[in-house]
Amino acid sequence: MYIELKSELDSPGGKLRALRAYATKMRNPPAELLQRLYCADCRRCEAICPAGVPVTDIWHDAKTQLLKTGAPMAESLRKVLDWIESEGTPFVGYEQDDRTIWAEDLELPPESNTAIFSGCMGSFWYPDQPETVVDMLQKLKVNAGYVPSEVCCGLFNYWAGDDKGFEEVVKKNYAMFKKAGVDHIVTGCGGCYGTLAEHYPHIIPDFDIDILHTVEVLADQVRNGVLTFSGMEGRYTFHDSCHLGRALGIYDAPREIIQAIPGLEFVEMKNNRENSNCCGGFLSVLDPELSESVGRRRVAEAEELGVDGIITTCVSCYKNLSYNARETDLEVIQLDELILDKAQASQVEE
Amino acid sequence: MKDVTETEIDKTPEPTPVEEAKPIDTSILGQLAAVVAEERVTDSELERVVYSGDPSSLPQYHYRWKGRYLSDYVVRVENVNEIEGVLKIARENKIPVIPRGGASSCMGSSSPSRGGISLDIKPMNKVLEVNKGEKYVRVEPGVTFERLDDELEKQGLTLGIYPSSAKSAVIGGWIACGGRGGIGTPYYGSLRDHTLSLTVMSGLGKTEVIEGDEIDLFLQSYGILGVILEVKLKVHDLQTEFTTLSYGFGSLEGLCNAMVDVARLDKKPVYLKIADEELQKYSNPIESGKYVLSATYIDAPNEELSQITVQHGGVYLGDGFSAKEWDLRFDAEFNPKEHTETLMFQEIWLPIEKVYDMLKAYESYKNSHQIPALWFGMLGTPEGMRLELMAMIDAEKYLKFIASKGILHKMMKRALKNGGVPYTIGLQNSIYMERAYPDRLVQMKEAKEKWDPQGILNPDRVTTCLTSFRRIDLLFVLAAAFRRLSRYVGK
Repeated sequence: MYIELKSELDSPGGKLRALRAYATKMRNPPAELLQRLYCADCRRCEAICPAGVPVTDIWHDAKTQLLKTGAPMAESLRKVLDWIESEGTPFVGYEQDDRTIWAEDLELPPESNTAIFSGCMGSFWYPDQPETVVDMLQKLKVNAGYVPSEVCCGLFNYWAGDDKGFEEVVKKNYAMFKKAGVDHIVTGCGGCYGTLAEHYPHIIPDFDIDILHTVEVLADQVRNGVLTFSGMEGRYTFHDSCHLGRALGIYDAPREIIQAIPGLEFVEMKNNRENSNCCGGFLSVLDPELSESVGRRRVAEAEELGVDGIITTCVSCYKNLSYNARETDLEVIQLDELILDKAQASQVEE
Repeated sequence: MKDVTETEIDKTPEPTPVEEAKPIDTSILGQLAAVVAEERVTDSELERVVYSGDPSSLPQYHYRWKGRYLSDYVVRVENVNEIEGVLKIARENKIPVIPRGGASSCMGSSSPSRGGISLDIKPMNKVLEVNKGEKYVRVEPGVTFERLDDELEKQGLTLGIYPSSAKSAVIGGWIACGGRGGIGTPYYGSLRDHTLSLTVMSGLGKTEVIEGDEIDLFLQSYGILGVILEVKLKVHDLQTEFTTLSYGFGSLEGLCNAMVDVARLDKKPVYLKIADEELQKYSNPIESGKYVLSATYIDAPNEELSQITVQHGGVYLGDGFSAKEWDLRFDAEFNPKEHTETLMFQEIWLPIEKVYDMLKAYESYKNSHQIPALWFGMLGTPEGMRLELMAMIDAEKYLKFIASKGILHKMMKRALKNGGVPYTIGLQNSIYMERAYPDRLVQMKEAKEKWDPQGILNPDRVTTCLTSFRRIDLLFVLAAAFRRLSRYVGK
């Protein structure tokens, strides 16, 4: 945020200074303080901070506290949270009834202990994505179903500091999972995965559902030799999603899959793994121009490498990177789709 | 003739309205917005709070003596003309200007003492020229070390020297703070050795290119003479192979003697640090000994290193531990901050032979006063070390806080007697100027008169001080007496 906006108020140090001042020395924090705490939560500053300050948690707690003490939430964000409450998705204009359109023709098993959590992006914007996950799991002989009544994972509520709304969403989803007899959830969305795996157990202390990301499942199959790929020419780099990478430490699994594709030359960007730069996707909720600018910066890093394309695991990263690479020669690829395209079904069958 | 459509007829343009002349905003804010883009000027309380502090997290009562510790305006400048305009407004209205880089010194170097204008130079961050043939680089003052190294690396070059706060500091700020010691300086030389010229704007608004001995005035000047506009620095061929060796010591004396002997060897390390086990606990815990010495060399290590360290009782801590020490070179001294409410510290620049006496005294205070003390030392030159004495304090515990401050003050007095000086001056350490740098004080007062006679630039540091050494000394004597008394009369 600081690199783009150039104000110390948008730097982690500046925000901490302001929070400290208003918490200890001054009264009546201005409304702007709350607004400035809404960043991409990409955790890049945590990775670089020599003092290891857990700023993401601090921003969350501060947002919650400021809202409780009467700080006004931005109108646009309020609208999103209201829409989640009524329609179970942050995408204003989309309705709960349309959430499962992606699954209608797939003949998924009515009951299964493994459920695909399609997430809002997968359900409404990129229905091919959960469909790809279904195809992939079927090739691996995993009979995954889905929970028709799932709602948004709650990432937006958590990010907004709306603890009450988050708790409601978590409890609603958990009750539905239990009702459906689910004990494993597979998702292809980094944001949903992070929220389910990292934050749900804080609300449900005896949370007993295993949360898996598709890359973990598939990397395991690659390691076991169950999943092999047909060849592919070209030099490609990988963009670490913030949710999957810095938040949950999943760096190796996607790389193992990519490097198992014969003929594909894999090149790391200079800023990779915990030092990876954010794609800016999440910022589109706040400021589309800022989101584009951050995305262009990440695309430029890949361009500098002279690669043919960027592979990513996250739908949101895919969306923002492909949009910002539209005027370049770079191809942006979703890892799930690449796997489905290159997986050798015959070997999977074995 | 072109057909006139109905739509076009409907859209017959109305006469252009005469634009009403905007009334000239004569307020200070209005004047600043006229010379700098409006979005980069503000008097919002929130921004003033942010731009008036630094990473130190000391409680408010500690700052009371600073007077008006909030700036009145924040201005982010992008070019020389804007700086000239801001300084002119400041002179005309007799407002202080506080130049601000990365604000990472933690000694209030860029914190206001009388309100005024916080002048953020970080947006001036262009790398102007990289000259591979003549091995120099020209940069604006707001360039970060990461950005500079990225550009140099493309040409197979490196600056080679960095402050330990390189992750957040900028070039201009390091120059203003002196840059005597840092990572790389024992091998490549200090920042002074690398500074070929500075382009500065004086408080009078005059731009000058400074070369030769006059550069010394601006290093460690904390922005009291002028604003740095451009820096020309010597650079080196890029080195990529480094080897670090780390040794654990059971005795402080063995550690310090080994450090002195290693520093005196012909082959100099790029990085040499010493630390106690308490500091290591938060970064790279030691399994053998109470103290650690880590030395990093370009290519192969010094052959005599192992012999010297073993001779003084050192035990090699392994390749993994050693490699981690180098990886954590920018983090190690900051790591404890994660585990405490306030990490209070004092930095002392000391002849290497005096390091043992100082640390022995600090460890003695640590035991007698039962303060959570820890320390870290980094070799700056083959003769000098930056010693950072820290205390992990909960600032809410007032007596403990004052006692720790008092001990750090005592340590500084001891350092002064041993040929040491405060490493950073800033707002907090200006009380020591007369005792630590008497000749420099005279020289800087003369320079201040020449470069900034109206005294608008970063007042109350280096040449003047809001309080005095005697007053602070007396305060700590009284605090110590009160602490002793409290043992007998209860809390």
